[in-house]
Amino acid sequence: MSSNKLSFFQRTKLNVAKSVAPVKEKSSSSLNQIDFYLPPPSYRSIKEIFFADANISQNYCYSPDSISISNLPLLEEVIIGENKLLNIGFDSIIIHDLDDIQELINLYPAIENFVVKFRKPFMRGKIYSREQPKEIVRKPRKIKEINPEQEKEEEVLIESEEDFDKPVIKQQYKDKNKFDTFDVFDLIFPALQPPLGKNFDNPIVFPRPLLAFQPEGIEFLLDNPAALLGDEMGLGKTIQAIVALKVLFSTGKITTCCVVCPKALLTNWYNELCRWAPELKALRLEGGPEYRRVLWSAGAHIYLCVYESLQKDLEKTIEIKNLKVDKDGHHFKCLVEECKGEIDIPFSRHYTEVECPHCLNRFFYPYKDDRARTHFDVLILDEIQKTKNPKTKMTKATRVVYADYKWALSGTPMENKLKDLVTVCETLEAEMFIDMNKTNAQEVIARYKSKFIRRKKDDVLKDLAPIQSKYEWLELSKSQRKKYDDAEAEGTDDLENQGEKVTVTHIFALITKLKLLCNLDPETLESSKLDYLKEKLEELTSQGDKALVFSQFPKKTIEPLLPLLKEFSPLYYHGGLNLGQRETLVRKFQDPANVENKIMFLSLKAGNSGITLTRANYVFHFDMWWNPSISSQAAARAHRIGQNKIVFETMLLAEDTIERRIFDILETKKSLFNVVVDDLSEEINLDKLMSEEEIFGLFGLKKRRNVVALTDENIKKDFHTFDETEFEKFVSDLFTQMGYHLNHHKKSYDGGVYMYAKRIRPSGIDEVIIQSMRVEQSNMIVKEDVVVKLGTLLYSNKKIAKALIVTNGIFDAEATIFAEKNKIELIGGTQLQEFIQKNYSK
Amino acid sequence: MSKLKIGFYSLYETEIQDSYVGTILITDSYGIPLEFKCTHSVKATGIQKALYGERLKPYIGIELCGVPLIKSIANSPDFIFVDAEYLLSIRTKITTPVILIGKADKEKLETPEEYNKDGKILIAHEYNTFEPVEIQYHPEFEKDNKNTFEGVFSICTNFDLTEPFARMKKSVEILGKSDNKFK
Repeated sequence: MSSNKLSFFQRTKLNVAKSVAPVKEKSSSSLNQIDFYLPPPSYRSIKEIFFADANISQNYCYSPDSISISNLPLLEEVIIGENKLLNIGFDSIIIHDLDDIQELINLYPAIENFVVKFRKPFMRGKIYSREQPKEIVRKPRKIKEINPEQEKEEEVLIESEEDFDKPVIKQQYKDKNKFDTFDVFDLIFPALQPPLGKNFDNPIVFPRPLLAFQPEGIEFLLDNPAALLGDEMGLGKTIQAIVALKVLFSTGKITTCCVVCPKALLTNWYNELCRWAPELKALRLEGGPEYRRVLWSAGAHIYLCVYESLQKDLEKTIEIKNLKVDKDGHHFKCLVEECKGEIDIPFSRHYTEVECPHCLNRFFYPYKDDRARTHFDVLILDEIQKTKNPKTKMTKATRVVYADYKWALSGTPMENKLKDLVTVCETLEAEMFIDMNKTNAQEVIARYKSKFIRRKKDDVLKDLAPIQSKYEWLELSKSQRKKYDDAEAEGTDDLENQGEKVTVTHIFALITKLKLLCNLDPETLESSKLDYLKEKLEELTSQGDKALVFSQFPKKTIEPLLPLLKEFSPLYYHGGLNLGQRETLVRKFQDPANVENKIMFLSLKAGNSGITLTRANYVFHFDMWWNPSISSQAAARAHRIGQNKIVFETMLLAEDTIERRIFDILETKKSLFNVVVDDLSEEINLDKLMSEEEIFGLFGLKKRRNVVALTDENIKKDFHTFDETEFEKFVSDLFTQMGYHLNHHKKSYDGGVYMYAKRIRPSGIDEVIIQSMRVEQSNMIVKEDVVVKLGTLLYSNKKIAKALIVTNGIFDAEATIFAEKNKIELIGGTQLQEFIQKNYSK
Repeated sequence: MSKLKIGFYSLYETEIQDSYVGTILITDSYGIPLEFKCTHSVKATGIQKALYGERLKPYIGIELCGVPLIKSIANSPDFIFVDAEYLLSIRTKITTPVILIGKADKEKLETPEEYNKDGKILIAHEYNTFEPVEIQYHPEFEKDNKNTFEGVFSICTNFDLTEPFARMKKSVEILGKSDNKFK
């Protein structure tokens, strides 16, 4: 370095400047050299002086673009514009004031620009949605509410579960994307959601308001790392647990959770999580062992598994004798016979190769066959009474897993079974009863009381609506799924092969066949609906409640189910019973002293209006009713005067089947129910609720071709040669040609068909009912009662402007007079041809 | 108006002193998150702190983190809220309107007209749905007021407009625990 440069450094307060070796051109010195030359203490003081004495004014950096000194850690280069000036010979320039810069510029006149640079930081993030969530408009639904004072049923408008015009948080993680990358930005996704509200009442976050008593349960879970939530069935234990999880995830207190439940409830948990916590990724640990291994190692917020799977996936670990599990990890004695030394394996070392510190034996822990994770932030054990025996592998498996929060859910009262209670509590907290007498009930209860909360329906009755309804979507069992898929494929092929001959009747037949398979596999009697039902029946009967189970298929569903539920001593109310037998059955079920017969099976035909079964307050529909009035009617066996409990109504439906497809279509047509469906026939009324295209579309088929074309030739034909369907089609086509849009058809049960139609005209929209009535002979008379019935329909619907009856027969005088007075147009006999001539165009 | 995309930008100091993380959150008009992005932490060295002085934070907040983050967002917001006055200057670097938002001055609440004198606008809810807030536009971009005010008013009853900043802060804390690059 030239003397000028030395002079430059000498102006600094750092003596180290002198000790920096004179920098020759094309050489540089480093801080290490400074170290070399100076004792460390001096270096430290240098560093302090270096920065502490920096005398920089605000204006020093008069423009970020005008000073250039390298970034970190120390100056290694000076950048002049775009060019590097290498090897200027020193590693650091101590800048004290503007003069120093000026000095540098004087020394190096080529320097034009100085820029103080920061390294540009990396940016990371995630796109959670590119689309706006749709705003869903749902109408409140009507129910019949019992008014005890008036002792009659009246229709009341209640709020539906979904709020009106509410934004929706979309489900972020779909099952099909379960193996997508799950990174830190997925971990923070719950924290980015809108807040839950002070009382968990933010309508944006929750699909419906919580019931008044539920926040207390949620707070209880949050305050107790070991907790047993023992609310009676139907009070929303699952929902309370899910909301508590939402709180913990959103505040960043937890990042993982495992939910263990009976098999029948797995899908229910998944569905409730999708509904109440769509921001969380839930993985269902299903399938074979190796598939589960992959799932356990996939990233997720929540892992859902069944007790049996957890047991299998920790099979070897369970067998380790005297295994102790705590927050620090797993502790056990070395398995080498000669060693038996104590081994401590922290959770951070699980699923790696570890070494016994005593005998240096290396082994993989947990054993390679074990796949389940051993540590979560939260572990939820649903229906924990299943692990009441401490010696079973299932119970041991739940104790191998460590979690900072362990919550148990169970509606089954266990206070009277001390041993069960102790086992369950020790699963939640191993040392809950340490140093005390576990056979002393009072002491046990006193100890566990603070970790237990239970509300009964009677306690919270005032907070609940009179009837609580829900849909329960269940996955078919393995054998059911295979049979179902085969039957659907075979049935669809058959329909396609039939071509034009296919009618909706054929399709209904296939639907019925598939619905039966959704209920159970007739060969193996496997049924996911039955499994679910059993779980629920165990719980509700242990509370002292009773249930009604309805099905459309007495022979093919109810009768095979009866022996499978014999532990509940089911009664069967069916059409084959005479009046006396029916009355006896009802009396038996209703008898308060009868605790043996806990459930009654009914088909709606037999179990229709007139019978009172208020001893039951749980109603299950084993298969889907297209007509919601039917489910209301069925539930009304229990939900009627004399019922003093909340009635819980559950529809059991099979996911990914014809039931789901029809359900989805009908959901969009709820408004039609009030207009069209006014009878309670058990027969499928799908043809009244869905168009032909939609019915055919259920199996990917196209609407059948026209049976009779509206052609020049056909309009001259004698209509008596047409059958009923052909005539209906002919009339339908004619009105379509006249500009009407035919909405749907409905049988009139007097040999005709009602067609609801609309036509848009400049003056407005015409809504009409057209009754098509084909008779055997042209001189057959259509009587007044037919016209009166149509008139009744006309006047019950204010939107309909007029009605028409089109027939190939003739009308009697009374019919004609009635029609003239009541905005009904009669087209029959010779008028039919004139009408066609007038309105048909080529 | 219900299809608005709203941006929230802030610069957070992490648990390590003089270490900053720029974050931007895009939500719909109900505060439901659509996109989130942040920078790795930017730690100023002694020289940088000395040289930049009081301009350090604005430089990091605007030049280093803010502009690049906003330009990298896929869900372009209709306007962006910031929670610090120095970040309002980011408006000079981008075309999206920027609005400074904060809790209203409680002392001034009794004389709302005082707000107009400062160039701030008070937004108070008739039924106290949320706490009153004050907003302010960059003085050089008066048109932003006209262009965005209706949108702001349409969403101010949907959720507390200052609340998302708390979520972002919490998220940065969680990120910092998971990955040192965000500390």
